[in-house]
Amino acid sequence: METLIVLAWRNIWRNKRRTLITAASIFFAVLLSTLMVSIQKGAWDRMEENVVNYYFGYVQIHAKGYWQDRSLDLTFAAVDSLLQLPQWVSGVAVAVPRIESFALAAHADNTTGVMVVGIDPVREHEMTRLRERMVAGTYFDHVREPALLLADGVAQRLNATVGDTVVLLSQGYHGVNAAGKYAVKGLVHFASPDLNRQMVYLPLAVARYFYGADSLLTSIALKVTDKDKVPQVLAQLRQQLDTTRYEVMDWHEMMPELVEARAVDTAGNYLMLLILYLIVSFGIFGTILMMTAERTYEFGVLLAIGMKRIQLSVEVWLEILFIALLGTLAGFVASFPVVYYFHRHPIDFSSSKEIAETYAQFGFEPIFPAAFEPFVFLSQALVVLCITTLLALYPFWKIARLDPVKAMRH
Amino acid sequence: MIFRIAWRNIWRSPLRSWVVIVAIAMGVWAVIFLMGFSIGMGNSYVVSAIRLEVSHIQLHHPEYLKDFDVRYYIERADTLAREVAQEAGVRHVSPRTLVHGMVATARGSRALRVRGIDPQAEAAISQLDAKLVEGAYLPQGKRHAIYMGKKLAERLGVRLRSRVVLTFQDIDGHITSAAFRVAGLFDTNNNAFEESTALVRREVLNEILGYTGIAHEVAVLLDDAALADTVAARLQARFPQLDVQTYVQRSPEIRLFESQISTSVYIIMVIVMLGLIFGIINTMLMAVLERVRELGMLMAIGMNRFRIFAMIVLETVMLGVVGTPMGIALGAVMIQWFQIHGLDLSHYAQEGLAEFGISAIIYPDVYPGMYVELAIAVFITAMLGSIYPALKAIHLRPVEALRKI
Repeated sequence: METLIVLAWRNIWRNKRRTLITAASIFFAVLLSTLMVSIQKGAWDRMEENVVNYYFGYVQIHAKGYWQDRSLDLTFAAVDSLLQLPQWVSGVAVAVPRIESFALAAHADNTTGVMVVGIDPVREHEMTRLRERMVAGTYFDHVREPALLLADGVAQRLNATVGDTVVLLSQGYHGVNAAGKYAVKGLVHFASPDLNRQMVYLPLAVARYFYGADSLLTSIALKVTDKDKVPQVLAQLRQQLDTTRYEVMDWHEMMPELVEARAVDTAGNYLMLLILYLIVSFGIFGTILMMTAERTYEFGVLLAIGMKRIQLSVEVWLEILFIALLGTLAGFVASFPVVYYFHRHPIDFSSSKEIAETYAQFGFEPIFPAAFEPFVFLSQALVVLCITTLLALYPFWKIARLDPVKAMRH
Repeated sequence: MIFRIAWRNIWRSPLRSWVVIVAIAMGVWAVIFLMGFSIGMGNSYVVSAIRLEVSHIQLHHPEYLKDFDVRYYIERADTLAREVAQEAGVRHVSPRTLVHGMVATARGSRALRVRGIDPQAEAAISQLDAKLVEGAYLPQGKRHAIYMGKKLAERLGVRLRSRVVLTFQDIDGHITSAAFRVAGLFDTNNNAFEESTALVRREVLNEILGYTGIAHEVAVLLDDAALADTVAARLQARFPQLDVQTYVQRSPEIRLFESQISTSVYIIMVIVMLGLIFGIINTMLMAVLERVRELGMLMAIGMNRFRIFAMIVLETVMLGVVGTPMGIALGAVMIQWFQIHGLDLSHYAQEGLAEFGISAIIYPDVYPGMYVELAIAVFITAMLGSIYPALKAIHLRPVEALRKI
């Protein structure tokens, strides 16, 4: 086997130009694929992060049936065991209690629909870093403060700023009228345009009073420190909680449309890359064809002096593999710095208002980082490996049928 | 004569030539496929946006679009609609009363945009009557009927005949409420629209607001989108007190989206051509290096270097000339077939596409001249790919070349 490897390596350099050009085609395909997959993955990961980390959390607990309806009537009592969740579930850093529902917000002559969320200021900040995203005013000082925080998109719609009074109107628990007047204590900025247009925060006790939902919660969001631990956390919670009264959901279950939208976008990208690899494969096949054709005499001699057909086939396969690996490695080395650069300095369209608005329609920030992950690089290598192995079947077949005598007369 | 030599040279090695020809054909076919479906998806989005949201032209009170304030209404909207309908190029007109408020049910409440419409006029533009899945489209005799998206109904936890209460600020600044009954549900595969908008009768909404015959928006559909600018100019001149906007002005994102699609379409073409060029260079290089002796001889007997260069270039171009029509034929047939039957992605991607506002059944589309542009791209690729091998050929020295075995 060692001989075959040495032979294969030496053989590919017998025709330097052909080897380099073939490797170059693979280099191009690998470079392009790595870049495209990285940027696409980075953009979607960031979008998910913006929505998940800054609001939803990776896991949520609700009263059973709540997520389907989002009705205030499907609330649950804020029992201590749930609030102390991080103590008995590993992987959960904070349990963030919330009561939320839609409301009409009005200031002077402007009205707009908003999501009013009653929060525990300390815990909310621990998960979503809310205090750090304030752009004006100050954060809640205590849980009974009759003040609210507005997302700056909402503030714009209402033409309101810190110090103004905003009226909230809604339907509360069991249909009671919910009405309240609150001072704007601060403005918060969300990167996700959708969230930025809707969010209004009240301290938990104040929100409960507004909705007439004493000591109740609509959800507990969990901060899971490591994204990969989410399935474990889910499993443990589903075992230990009474699933006839509560439901435990992860991000994918809560937003299946977004998961699917990502899948569609990814599939489209992969289709294009598939086609690119297909074309590059034709190029490689052309090379293999030429290699086999011009060395018929040589193969004949080798077989005649006693080399086994399988050995010769493996040797040829190794040659193709080496050329492919050369191109793949070169592709990686070239893509590393480029991907790393876009990882640290995402492609940023925020200076163009139009582009920003177009992406905002789909819920994206106009900032596209590249994902810097081994998976992206390794998957390309795997694809190239599969392609070359498949293509190596041709010389395999040819060698199997070779008649040494006829070949030596070539 | 070089043409004949070049052509015959290609066929001296049929297998090798066929590999390149098939690669080119596959490349062309793939590009037509990708381009056709990208454009098709883009069209789906634009058509949906025009039908449901921005129409071709819209008229508003000059202050309305700033905050969508319900106080900035258009008076005598029915007369206006009739006059607008008389303009040349206008096919349908629909006056709409718009209110942003909250919808509440027994179970929950949500922000909602309510569009008060004249059922027939609106149906002509948005075709929402055709998207009915349950119940009826604002039936006669049911004044307080509301027509909402299936998605919205699910979110609110309501069904046909459920009662919903709309709360909003009226023109005089008072918060007012009105009850409606769900009379029909529609499904548009445009999530953003479905979850945010519901339809009621305009006369009923106007009554609640306390003003008759008004509208906030007059939506206009033309015979042809290309007429938008000219008709809008005429309408603006005729009604200087109103703000007239085309769909491009109303939603610059549409234009941007379209240009992004067309940019990505060109990028697809460039990437595939680049993928092809390596194979072409390799093949032609081999073709040259194999014929070193023959080329040496040709040069020795007096064939000048320019002719040899041209011969190699011609051989490459001819491979393209054979492969491109094959690829275009395959691509065109495929596009024709899918234009009739559509590519049905509803099993895999219905919701995902709905998030983008794209229908789940995609009809590919080509723009005029696409095939010609593609052929030119292949031609250029072949020419560029042949340069290196052709240069190699003319740099051979006849004496050394003749000695090669």
